[in-house]
Amino acid sequence: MPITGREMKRPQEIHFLSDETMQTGEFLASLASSFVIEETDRRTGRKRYYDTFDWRLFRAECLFTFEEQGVELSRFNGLPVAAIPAGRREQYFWWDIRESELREKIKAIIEMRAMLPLLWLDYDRKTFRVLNKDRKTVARIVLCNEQTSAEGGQLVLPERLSLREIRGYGTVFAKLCKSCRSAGLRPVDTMHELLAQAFSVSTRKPLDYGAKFRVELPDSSTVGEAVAKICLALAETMAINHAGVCQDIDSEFLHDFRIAVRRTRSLLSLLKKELPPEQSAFFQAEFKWLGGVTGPVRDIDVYLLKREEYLAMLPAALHSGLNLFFDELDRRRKSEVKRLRRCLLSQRYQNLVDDWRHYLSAPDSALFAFRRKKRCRAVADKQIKKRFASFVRDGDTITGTSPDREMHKLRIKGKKLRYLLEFFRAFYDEAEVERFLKHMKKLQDNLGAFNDLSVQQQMLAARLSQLDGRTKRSMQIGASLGGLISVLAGKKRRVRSAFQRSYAGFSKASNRDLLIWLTADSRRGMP
Amino acid sequence: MKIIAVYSSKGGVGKTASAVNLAYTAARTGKQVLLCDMDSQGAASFYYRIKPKKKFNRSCLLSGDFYQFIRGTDYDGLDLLPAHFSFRNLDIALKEAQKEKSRKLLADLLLPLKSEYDFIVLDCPPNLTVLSENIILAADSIVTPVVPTTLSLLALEQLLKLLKKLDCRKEKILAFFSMVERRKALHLAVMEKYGKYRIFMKSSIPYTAEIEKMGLHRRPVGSGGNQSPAAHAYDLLWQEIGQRMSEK
Repeated sequence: MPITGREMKRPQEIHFLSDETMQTGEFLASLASSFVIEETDRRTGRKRYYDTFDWRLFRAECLFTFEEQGVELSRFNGLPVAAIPAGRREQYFWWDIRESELREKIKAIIEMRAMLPLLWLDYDRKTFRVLNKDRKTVARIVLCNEQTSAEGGQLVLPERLSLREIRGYGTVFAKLCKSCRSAGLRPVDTMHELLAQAFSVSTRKPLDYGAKFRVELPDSSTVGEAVAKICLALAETMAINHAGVCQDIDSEFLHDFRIAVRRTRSLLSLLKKELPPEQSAFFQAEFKWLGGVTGPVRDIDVYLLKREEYLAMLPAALHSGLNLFFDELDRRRKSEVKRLRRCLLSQRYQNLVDDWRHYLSAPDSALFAFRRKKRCRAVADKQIKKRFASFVRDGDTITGTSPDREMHKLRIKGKKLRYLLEFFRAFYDEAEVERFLKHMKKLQDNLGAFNDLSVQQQMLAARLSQLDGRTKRSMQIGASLGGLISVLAGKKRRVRSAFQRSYAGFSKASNRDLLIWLTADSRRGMP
Repeated sequence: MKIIAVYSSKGGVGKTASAVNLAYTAARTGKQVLLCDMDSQGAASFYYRIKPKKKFNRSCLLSGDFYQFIRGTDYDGLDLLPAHFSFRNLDIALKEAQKEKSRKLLADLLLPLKSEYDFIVLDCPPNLTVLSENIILAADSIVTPVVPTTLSLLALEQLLKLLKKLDCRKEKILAFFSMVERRKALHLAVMEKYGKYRIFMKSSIPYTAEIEKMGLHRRPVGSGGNQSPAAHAYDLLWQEIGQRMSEK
């Protein structure tokens, strides 16, 4: 067909703000001399905005709001995605929303995270239509007065005029835009600017938290300076997630907390020779403790998050047994969370936080005195090259018949290499590091999936062996776990067979060259 | 994306009123809808107060270069492809085009719009031509208004024959009684006799002054604000169409 490649242009919406010389309301009145304008709708109300802690909706350019009549998901451009009647809650998981299109859309964006309330918005919104001589609507104008409130106070936002194009009537829209501009109204480039204003009364700012790890390090940083900066950033991540873990808001607070702990431990171990041994050993032991006490809840979370996936793997007849198993996990989790909370509110944890911060920031800290002049870039180059060489040396020898433990060893090595690149990415070309990490991620995903499946199988088998098989309940659980173990075994075989392809993709010559190029000594200049 | 053709070879059975109101009802439920006015008389375009742009004509449609001529109606989620006077010869043009291409030309033309719309409603002219064949092949469902009279039933019979000729399942047809006047004995008798057949949906559309006055008000019946009996009838009809389509 001749029509492939043609795309429909979406109607535009442009927002304008009042400035000192022209108010949008006055401007609208002045438009009446050139256009036929009719008010069609006026709405006043109060909305509450929600997003996940890591701004998943914002990143998807979506807004989730509660209003008296229910909850709504809309796009930044104002177009509604889906809405349903619902009661107000302090937080929403996707499963708190009844079965609907809205629930499916939300689920795809937020996954396992909770949506938390961020701010209130009181609005007074008038909609006008611009008519042609047939009294057909050829454009819409929305005049909006809003006030936001959050824990930081209240703010009246500047009056906003939004022009909405109607498909097929671009000429009128262009004329209206021109009139707005020539009247001195200030166009707002994106919704981001409006939201940034609205959030000025909140303690949270859009995208103030995300999973990507990046620390700015000048090329001249010494080892002590670089380690301090990286570890302070990781300590900050732990602090930010601490309250969410203690309140048990959602599983990802703990997940992110644990990643920060793991990264800290990894850095201390990777740069062991460059750091004061006594202090390193002390903190290494303390962070090992922290990793240990946060482990049990996360281990359970991994299974609970897979509830739907596991149920889908088994025939309906085995669901009741599996549900009993999950109920057991749920109960165990509750007591583990209590234990975890006690640890995170303990004096030992507080001491660790205080001592660690002091060690990382006090000018007289041993961290800055030990090998004080050694440039971190040289250490990073050497470590990355060494870890990469070790990784490909092991990876090259893995064949289809290699034992599972070789795969696990390779995964740990890969993780260390990835952490190094993430810690020190500021020393290198950002785009190239990203490119390398992207290639690496595919392989790491494969190795990670293989490890997860191995661990899951082992855990389920361990639980299976504990069952006495005398009660109906234990028989039911046993049957479900048995079924699950065999499905997981099939899955594990498939993941294992995909390894060679993933590895070949990663270890190709171009990636090897890229890493050598990245870590070429900066003093010698880049090739 | 589902394509719904509102079609009957007989004129004056309420095709355009049905297409206009069903498209509006669908959009009101939050769906993205495109109403295509295939009838050169342009009644659907008139109801929505939409005139085609000057450069638009039959050739634009047949070459697939028609996206820019789709216009938004006064209602959220509802767009319209207006009719053009040159559509009166759409049959001849399609016949010419079909020398090289299949009868699925219309379906191929509409297919790229699937990412934009949930439903495309075709308001079809009353005839039994190559255009009708194209419409039948393009549509997922053919919504057929039948006035409870003998001649209207004859048109339904002809449609069934055409479907057989084109090797289409007769379940594609979703017929309903249109312009029903319950005070007329003939209407009641016809509905009594034929309404029990699966081809007919349970919902029907009454003959009301409100639907007649659409030409005066130039808007769908449900858009005036108050929920009228005619608007309610179209709501029920749309609901049943949805149910029937999901059963397939």
